[in-house]
Amino acid sequence: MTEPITLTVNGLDYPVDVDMGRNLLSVLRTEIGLTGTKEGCDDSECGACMVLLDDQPVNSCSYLALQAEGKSVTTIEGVMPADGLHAIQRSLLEEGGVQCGFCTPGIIMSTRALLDGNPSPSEEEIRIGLSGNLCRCTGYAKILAAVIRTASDN
Amino acid sequence: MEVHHPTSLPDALRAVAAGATPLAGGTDLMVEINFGHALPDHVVGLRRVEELNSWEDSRIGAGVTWRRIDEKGPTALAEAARTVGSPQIRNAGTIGGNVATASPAGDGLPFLAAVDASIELVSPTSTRHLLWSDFFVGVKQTAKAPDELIVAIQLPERLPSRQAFGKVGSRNAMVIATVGCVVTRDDDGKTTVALGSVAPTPIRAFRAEEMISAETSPSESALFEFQRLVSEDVRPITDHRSTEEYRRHAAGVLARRLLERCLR
Amino acid sequence: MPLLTESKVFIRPDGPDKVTGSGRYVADITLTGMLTAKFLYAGISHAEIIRLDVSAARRVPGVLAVLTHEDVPERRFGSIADRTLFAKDVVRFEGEVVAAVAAIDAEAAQKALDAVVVEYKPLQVVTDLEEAIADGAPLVHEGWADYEAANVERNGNVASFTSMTRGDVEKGMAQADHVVFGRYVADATHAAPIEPRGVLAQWEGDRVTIWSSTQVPFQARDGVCETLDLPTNRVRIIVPHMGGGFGGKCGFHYEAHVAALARVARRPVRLVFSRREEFIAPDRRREGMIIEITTGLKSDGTLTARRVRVLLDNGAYSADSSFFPHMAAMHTLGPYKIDNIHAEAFSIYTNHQPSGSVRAPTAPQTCWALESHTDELAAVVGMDPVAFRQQNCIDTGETGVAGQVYDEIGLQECIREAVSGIDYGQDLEDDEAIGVAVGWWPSFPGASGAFVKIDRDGKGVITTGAQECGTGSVMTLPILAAAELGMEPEDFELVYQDTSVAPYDEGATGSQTILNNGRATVEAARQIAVQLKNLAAKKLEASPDDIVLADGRAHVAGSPESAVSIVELAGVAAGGELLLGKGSGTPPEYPSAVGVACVGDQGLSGWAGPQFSCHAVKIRLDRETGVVRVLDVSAAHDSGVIINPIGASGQVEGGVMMGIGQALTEGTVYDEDGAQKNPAFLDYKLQTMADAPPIRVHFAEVHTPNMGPHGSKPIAEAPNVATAAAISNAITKLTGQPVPRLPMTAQRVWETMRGGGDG
Repeated sequence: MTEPITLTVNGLDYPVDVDMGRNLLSVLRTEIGLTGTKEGCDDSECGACMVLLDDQPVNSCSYLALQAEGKSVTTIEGVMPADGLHAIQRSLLEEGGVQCGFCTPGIIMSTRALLDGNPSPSEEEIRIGLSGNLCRCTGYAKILAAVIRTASDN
Repeated sequence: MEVHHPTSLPDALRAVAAGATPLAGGTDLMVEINFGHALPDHVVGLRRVEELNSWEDSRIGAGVTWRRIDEKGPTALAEAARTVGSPQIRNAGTIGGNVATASPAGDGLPFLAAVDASIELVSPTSTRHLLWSDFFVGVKQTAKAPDELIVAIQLPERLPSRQAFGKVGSRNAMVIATVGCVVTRDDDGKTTVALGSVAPTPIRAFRAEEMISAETSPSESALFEFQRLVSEDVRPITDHRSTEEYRRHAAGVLARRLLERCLR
Repeated sequence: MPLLTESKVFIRPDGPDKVTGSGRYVADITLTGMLTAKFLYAGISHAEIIRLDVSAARRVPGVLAVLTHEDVPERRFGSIADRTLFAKDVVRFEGEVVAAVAAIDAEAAQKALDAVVVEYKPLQVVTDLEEAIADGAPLVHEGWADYEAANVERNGNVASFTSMTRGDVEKGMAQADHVVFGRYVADATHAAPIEPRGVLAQWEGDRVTIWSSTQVPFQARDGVCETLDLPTNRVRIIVPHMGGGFGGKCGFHYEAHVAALARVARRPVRLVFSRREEFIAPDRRREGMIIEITTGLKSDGTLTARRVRVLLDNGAYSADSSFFPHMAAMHTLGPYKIDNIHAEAFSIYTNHQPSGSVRAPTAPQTCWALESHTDELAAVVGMDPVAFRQQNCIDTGETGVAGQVYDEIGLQECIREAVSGIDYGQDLEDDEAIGVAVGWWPSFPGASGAFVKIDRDGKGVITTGAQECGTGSVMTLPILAAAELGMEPEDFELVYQDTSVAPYDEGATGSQTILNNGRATVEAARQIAVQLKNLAAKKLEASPDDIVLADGRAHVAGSPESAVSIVELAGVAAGGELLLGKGSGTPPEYPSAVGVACVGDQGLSGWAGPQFSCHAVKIRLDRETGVVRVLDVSAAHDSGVIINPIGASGQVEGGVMMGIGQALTEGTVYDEDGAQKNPAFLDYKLQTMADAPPIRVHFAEVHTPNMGPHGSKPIAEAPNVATAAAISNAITKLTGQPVPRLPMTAQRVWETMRGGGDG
């Protein structure tokens, strides 16, 4: 059974008909066509599907699309300002914190949520803040360096 | 699948009474749906029901998230909240959901057992409070009637002055507890110890409690006797995460350490 | 001289795609009319198929194709040809594909799967390695005498076998003052890339284009051609962005299934795996092992003899595992000086998921066993484990276990630097310890090719078969081309991962890109260098031999003011003879191994460009619970001269972290029937950022002759060898004896301390 709803994603309103049981991740990726948000597992363990809902991080694989109506959804496609890369995007590239890139959108969303709430986190706070984002390539060292750098550039 | 999003408690209750599956943070149910383990015909989303999100003193609305509990919950419950999944899971997952799922490894449950919390269950026609020990009846099984909704968790007005939560697990984050434990100790020495992952439901180690509550300033040998009694009192199983023997041992060690923290 | 100046920040060219979410992975690509594919798996580990009926499934509305073995040519594939696309008559592991469907959406596809009628007669399940090779054991492959394979002896459930002998091991043991035996058991693990695999196929006429998350597109293409009877030029494999592989996406996997579905459905078809499928189905799992090592040594620490026996869990099919026994034998013997050796290694069929190359196949487990054993040897003769290794490990000019004499190698530097990087010998808390282990890994010379062109504005394109799954070819190859032409890496774009466009390449496997594709790219760029020098010579009225390409210009040697820009030369060339280069760097030869007798020889006794490493790890052990935390890691590597420092250190950090997971938390648990009990990230625990210790990386930049460009060697797999071993040795310092089973979970550490442990 589908229901017509309007999702606000990266500041734009999208009227969509969604099957009521669909998760937000799948609606973002198919109906809305924003594929930057990734699916790495289906049990909220990897964090690749992370988006912000009213600036708070959630795993979109474990969130009903219907429940996002009336909230502001931010995906990786909404992170980049008009004048170039966001500081965390630039730091990740310059520090070498991107390899295969599949976890990267989730890492960036997590970092944004963390830094929005706590502009100068300690290293320990960063480690905990990003603990819900699995990365298999980097060993996290260069991601950590990039987050520290973004925070100190703030 | 049909989903409704009531904004008032009576509407939510009617939906539940009509057979809808309640959906709170979604961190458990959505995973079941993603895995194809659960395909409910009718789901009632609870996020917009304001009554469930309220938190007045010792009455915590079922829809309160772990993030909020981490910020302002009682000591040991906040400590437990900090270990629930990852930041994004704490942001979505609720205490009511944890109670409803009733997983033996539920991080919030040992605290409820340790302080003798009650679960407030409401149906369209009744309201009742069940003590945690009457509510949790088995692995992922509760005494909640099909037409009832978990509306709040009622803690005692006064909580023990010292409390500590801990868990033994394989990583520093995103850990399913091999053992989870809360120890409380009040000014008069009254001690409680509750454990998760070591029985089908959260349990208390009453013999250990009785023994240590009688000790005004426990000696080292009393602490180890406490540990031994906890290990004896738990009823763990062997599964792919751990053996019974290890869980029994780790439960005792963890309880003793938390008691030591309370005594400091 | 480094190819990149230290201050230079070279951003990986695919980086902006990845940080903005604009980069497309297979699951992100949608074609008009595309259908969804789903597989029906056996769900039982060993059974005879007594009935298989898909007629009801074909009638499910929205279903356009349902395939079983009857719908594809009867072809076996794999390094031992023991596998078919779909199960026929017998299923041999739970994740074996029995049927495939394509439907208008996932729901319809699922309904079709539910409508397939399949009945099984259970057969006896083979899971235990020792039992599997005992007399009278039930056979996983009854009819395998008919299978084709090279260099493989057939014997019961033994899929492949290697024995190596050098010197006289009995005599060596007799000369020893001490003989030490150790037995170690490793659980299976998984590559677990964060992107689950995807395959999308579309036919146009008699040609099929397949977008696949494969590390090895040419192998994937050949698999499709072989199993569906197609010529190579009708099958085009394109790999869009790829979310990690670690060996898990090596080999030919499901491209033929999806192509066959698309052909029948006459529509594009896309398959995207769930995480559970990613765990149970692919024939790429890191094999479980039983490793037994006996070493004889003199009281002064001299090694006199080593005997090893390794049993590898091959799983139900052989994928690429037939070279594993040889690798396991070499790794269990180790980078040591021992004149008398005897090794036997068996890869044994079981009803588990098939094993296949996962990052440094066989090495982490065997290294863990050998290096744990080595610390025991040091203890027996009262030597410090580091000094013991310095005495016994091979160095330049010395002879290794297989009789190979090593030219320039940096193992001794690795040991020195790893221990100094972690301040070995520092005062430690009584629940802390530092463990040290050495590892090695071969390089694999092979065929490869590259085209390089420079267009009229002086911008270049490298067209290559090399893969990029996070490994860094997008950085390394432009660096190499730019260095030949006096240009900047940013001047080059890489066109890659398309079998119809690029020359053959082995792909992201065996860490081979820098070695083989690097040589090909350099050779192609050199042809353009010759063209540019000729053009510049004409312009500057000098001899081409005197022209130097540097800083984007061509100038006459000794007079930098007499110069012309490469952009200008490119403009001239654009109106005449185009700037085009091609290379197919002749692979270096494998060095010879001397005096070693090898049965089941896979040609891997002599190691080309062996890479060496030493990892030193500081841990804290909770003695009451057995919980281990890794506090600090120092990793030193000889991977020759480093071309791309940020990429190389990223490989080391990632490999170390994977090693920490293997050491402590990652292990597949099977039930008695051969099914996985933890095929999900909830219960198969990768390390998180909260677990990640600081990792110090040192490169012993030994200039390696006749290997990769500029004295380089590969790097990607070597970091995933020695970490678990180093952690084991740290734990043993605190527990008194090694934990005999990998992963060394808290429970197993605790059991070891209590004097038990299930080895």
